[in-house]
Amino acid sequence: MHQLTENTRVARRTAFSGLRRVTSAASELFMVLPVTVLIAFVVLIPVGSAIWHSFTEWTPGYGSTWIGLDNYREIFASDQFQQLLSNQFILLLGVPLWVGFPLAVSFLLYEGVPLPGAFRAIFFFAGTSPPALIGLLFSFMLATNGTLNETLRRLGLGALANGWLTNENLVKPVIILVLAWATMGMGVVLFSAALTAVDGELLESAELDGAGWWQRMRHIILPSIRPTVELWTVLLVIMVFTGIFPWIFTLTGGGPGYASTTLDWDLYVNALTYGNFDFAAAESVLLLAIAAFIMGVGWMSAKYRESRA
Amino acid sequence: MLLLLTLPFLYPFVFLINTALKPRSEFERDSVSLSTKLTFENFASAWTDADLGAAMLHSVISVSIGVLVAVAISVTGAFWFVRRPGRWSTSWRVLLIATTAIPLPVYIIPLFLQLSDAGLTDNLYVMGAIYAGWTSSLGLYLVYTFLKAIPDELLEAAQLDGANPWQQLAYIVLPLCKPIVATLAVLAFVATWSDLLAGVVLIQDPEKRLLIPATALLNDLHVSNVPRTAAAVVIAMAPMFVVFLVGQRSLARGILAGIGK
Repeated sequence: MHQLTENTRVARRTAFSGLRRVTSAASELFMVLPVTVLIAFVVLIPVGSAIWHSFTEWTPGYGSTWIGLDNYREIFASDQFQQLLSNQFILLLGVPLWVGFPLAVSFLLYEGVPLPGAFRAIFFFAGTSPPALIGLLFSFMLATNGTLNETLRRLGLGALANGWLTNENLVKPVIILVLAWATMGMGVVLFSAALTAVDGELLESAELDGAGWWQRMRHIILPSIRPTVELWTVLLVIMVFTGIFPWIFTLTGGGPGYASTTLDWDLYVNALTYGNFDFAAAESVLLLAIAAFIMGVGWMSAKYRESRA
Repeated sequence: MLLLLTLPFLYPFVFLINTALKPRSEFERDSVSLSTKLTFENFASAWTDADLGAAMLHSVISVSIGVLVAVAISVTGAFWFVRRPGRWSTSWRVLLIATTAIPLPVYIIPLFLQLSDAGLTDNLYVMGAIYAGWTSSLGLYLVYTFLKAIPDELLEAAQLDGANPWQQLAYIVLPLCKPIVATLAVLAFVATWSDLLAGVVLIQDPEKRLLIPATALLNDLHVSNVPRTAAAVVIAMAPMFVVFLVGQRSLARGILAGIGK
């Protein structure tokens, strides 16, 4: 009798602890639920909606009908899209500049200057300032009656004054230069970190063995920072396609004409100004495909290098 | 040489502050020289006439909700993924973290329509939640990588002491996570405070504008008052400057950690 109650008690206890384990596992799910639900609602479901609706004729509030690839066909056939693509590719020409400038500055800082931290802080603050605010700042300076032109006139160089943001041949090079300014800080932080990771002892022994500056650069420093250079390049290329919106918003509004319209600006205008939501959805999907493609290329080149190493 | 290189990076800020302190009439005569008379009327006008005071409050509400929620759900989520390794949980985690790579312009329009159907646009609290969802994928990545590097013994010891997972989270994981939480908070702040796209799309009611969208739209109005907009830019940049001074290290570390995957 005594034995029996002891047994049931044990059985009950194990059953209870099993139950408790189950409820505890269930209650633990509440740890991961909020982040899952939020990311699903903010990112995953809208991405799904963009993909689905890009194949439909879509008037929000009135439903959508399947039209296959018609949106894409229409986009690729439009003159405006050709212009837009060529804008994107011209902006891509800025990438070597946006890689080269911060690389050169990081080398200068690395070779030893007084107060490297102060210099780095200046570039970094410029680089982490909100793009929209920097865009506004440059729009004051580059306006046709703005400070740059007035300064040129005062210096007797009035002939050089130009509509920096209103001349269709100048607007993209000007945006490239503004972006060179804006991307400098982040580039310097990245490259400086990569340079401090270069093997100092190896450099010293190479120097003792009589390796010159250029040899050390070519055989030790460059190979060691190459992955960072590639990474930064990939990030910049992605930026050209997906991160130009705040600059266009504050500098040009996509103009003159369509001379500075980019994909991310165009889909905003299509959706919110013209109500072409299906068009905008197709453009979003193109954007997603481009970003995925660039990341894929970056990833594969990193893998290829690893496999050779 | 390098000093010469920093000039183009310093001059725009000098120009900005000079313009913000210049009377409008003087700016229209001469936008180049140093201001002869310093005035704060541009700041006053931006703060009250252009309603930047209200916009600042709106941004503080949305951004702080965003940062707090992002930190909370990233830490708890990452802790769960560390506790429950396995095939399912791995693909689940990878899916959530991979959303970091999806650029905002890809989903902002459908997100707007989805919220607008539910009557949730023009809402500062919802905006905070959106910011949290936007930054928590990166947060999950940062905290998960951080927790993975912590020796298992620490958590096992707590388990033997009879602490349940929630207690472990509160008394062991959270205090351990302080440095990565600081990094994540600074990164999430900088990203969401700087945001323009989500702000202009999801909050279109002029009474509820966030600070950066409100500032950017000042230029859009047909009366252009450059000194006032310059003052607005200074106001909008000020909180960033403070965070930058305090958290420059966390910020640099966070960018390196966030980018380096």
